[in-house]
Amino acid sequence: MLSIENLHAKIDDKEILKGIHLQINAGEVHAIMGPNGSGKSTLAAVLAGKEQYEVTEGSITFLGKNLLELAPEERAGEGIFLAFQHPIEIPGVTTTNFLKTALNEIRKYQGLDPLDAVQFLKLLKEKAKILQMDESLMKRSLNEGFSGGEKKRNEIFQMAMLEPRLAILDETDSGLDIDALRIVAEGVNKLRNSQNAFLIITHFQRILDYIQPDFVHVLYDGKIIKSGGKELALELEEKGYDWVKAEAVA
Amino acid sequence: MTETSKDFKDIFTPLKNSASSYVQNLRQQAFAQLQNLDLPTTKHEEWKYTSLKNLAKESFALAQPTDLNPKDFFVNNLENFYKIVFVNGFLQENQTLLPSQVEFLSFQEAEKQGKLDNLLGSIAKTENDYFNALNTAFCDKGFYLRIPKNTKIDKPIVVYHIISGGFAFLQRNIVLAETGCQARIINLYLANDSKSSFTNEISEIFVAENAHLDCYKIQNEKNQSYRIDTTQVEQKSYSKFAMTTISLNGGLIRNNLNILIEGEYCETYMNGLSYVKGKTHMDHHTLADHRKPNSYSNELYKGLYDENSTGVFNGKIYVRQNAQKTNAYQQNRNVLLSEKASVYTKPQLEIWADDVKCSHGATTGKLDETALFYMRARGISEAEARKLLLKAFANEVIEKIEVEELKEYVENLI
Repeated sequence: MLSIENLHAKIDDKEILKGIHLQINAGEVHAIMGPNGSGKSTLAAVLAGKEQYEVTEGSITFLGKNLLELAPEERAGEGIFLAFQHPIEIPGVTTTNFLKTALNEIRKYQGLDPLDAVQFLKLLKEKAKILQMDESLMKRSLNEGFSGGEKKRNEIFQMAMLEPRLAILDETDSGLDIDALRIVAEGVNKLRNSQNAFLIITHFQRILDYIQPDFVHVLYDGKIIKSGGKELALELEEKGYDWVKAEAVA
Repeated sequence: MTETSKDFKDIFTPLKNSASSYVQNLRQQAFAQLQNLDLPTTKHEEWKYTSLKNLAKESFALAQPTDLNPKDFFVNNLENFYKIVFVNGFLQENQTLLPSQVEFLSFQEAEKQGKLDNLLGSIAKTENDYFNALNTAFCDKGFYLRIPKNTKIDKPIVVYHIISGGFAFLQRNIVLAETGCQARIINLYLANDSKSSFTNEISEIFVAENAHLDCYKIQNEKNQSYRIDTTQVEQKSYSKFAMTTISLNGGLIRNNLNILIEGEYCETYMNGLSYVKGKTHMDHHTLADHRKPNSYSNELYKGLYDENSTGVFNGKIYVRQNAQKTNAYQQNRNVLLSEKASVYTKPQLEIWADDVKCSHGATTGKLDETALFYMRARGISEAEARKLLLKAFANEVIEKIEVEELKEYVENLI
């Protein structure tokens, strides 16, 4: 589904990604862990198409298409979804209106008819239930005055509404209490199927107790220096990153 | 040598002797003052960012009645409301539709009947004010509207101001909102063609005790219209006055909105939304003058400036020594949509009282890039995302329009 080859990217002349290789197939859940500043969020932003980052080398292929040639909205149309580490507040645009616009723009991109108000509200209620979202939040301006946890949950709710092929969760677990984390993880688990894939970027092993990854990668200094199964996450939690770094240097 | 040489005092013809000695004296006084005044230049503190150089270069004929059919300009959404219609400053009496409770007269008729005595010029002062002096000396067009004590006007009154052809004209209105009354007035400014025109309109609005008056201005003329507009308001105790100004098109618009809060426990709202492009120059000068204790004023002006447009916001709050326990708030937020657009903003708080709550803030920036990316990452095209953000920005002001039909009309214009 997603194939990243030798990806190099920089921002303001500072090279952050220094040759990433990553292969994600449909039905898989990948976790990327790593210390602060290793390039985790940069990778997420480059995949979503943030223009401040310049890709200097390498390629990203998504479902056979050159992702780097597509605008952010086209990537979303192809089925890429980024759950933001810091979701944006947009005063004056309600969550409902925002999602309706997003969903119908994606449907348009995919050559589907837009959902009418009734169909949309039905879907909204259905997905809100999964994430235990208070429906009164939907009538409020997007993320405005939401708590940190509510914002993160709103990201996963949006993901549920838009049903992407590849969802990238950029530190969605940071700042969540256990109850909220469980709701978010359950939401992800319900959406998981053989047709889609997840890339979970995290600092902490905690979320992986709830969402079982197929692969765990360690990102350090712009490169993936170690990959393994879910047991790697536990090992990192226990021993920290230093042994992996040492192993990589050796 | 001043930067402008034009003098409107040569364009307008002196008026015949008035039946009212009050008006007669006022005119003579204004005329005398005008002899010592010139069209303001940017050296004048109040005109620092608004140059009238181009206005001075234009030549205008005095407005004449036209055979334009005002019906072509009526807004469907607002057709169930009451109506007053002006074309080039001429009252179209056959179009007037008002409830029987109100007293409505043309300016000339009101003058004749002595209705303007002690009102006209009582709050719009002519000293050192070129346009007020000009208007007072030469104007005999406009209206007098009295909303009697304890009367509620069931529907808004829509005042159409239509301009057609390259003319200059003056207009003067007096609105008396008597004790305990309640009314809404919607002013629509529309133009028939793109010829240069010049309008100077002054409204003096008296809001008596307990009266509630909700006013709107929708400024949507053409890009060659010059409009110098002054609204002077006096509020008495327990009254509420609100003015929402939506400015969408015009060549050069200068709005002076001055509110004298002469009573206690008054509520005052000033809202503004400017969304302009082309070379439009949009200047808002406002004043909330708290002269008595315990009143509340809240001002929110937002501006969206595209292409080569320019915005000016000068918002003054005065809290006089006597005006303890005043709450006064002011916000001015601007978004520049183009590299060539510019905004000058100057919030001005002057507080002589010591027990008050006042705040003000002004921001000018570009459309939020992080919000744009967030929306695009959700599949929303850049153009659509911009539109949503602009709407969201504008909505904070539009939401304050309490007349649903008008709100809808404005939403469609944006």
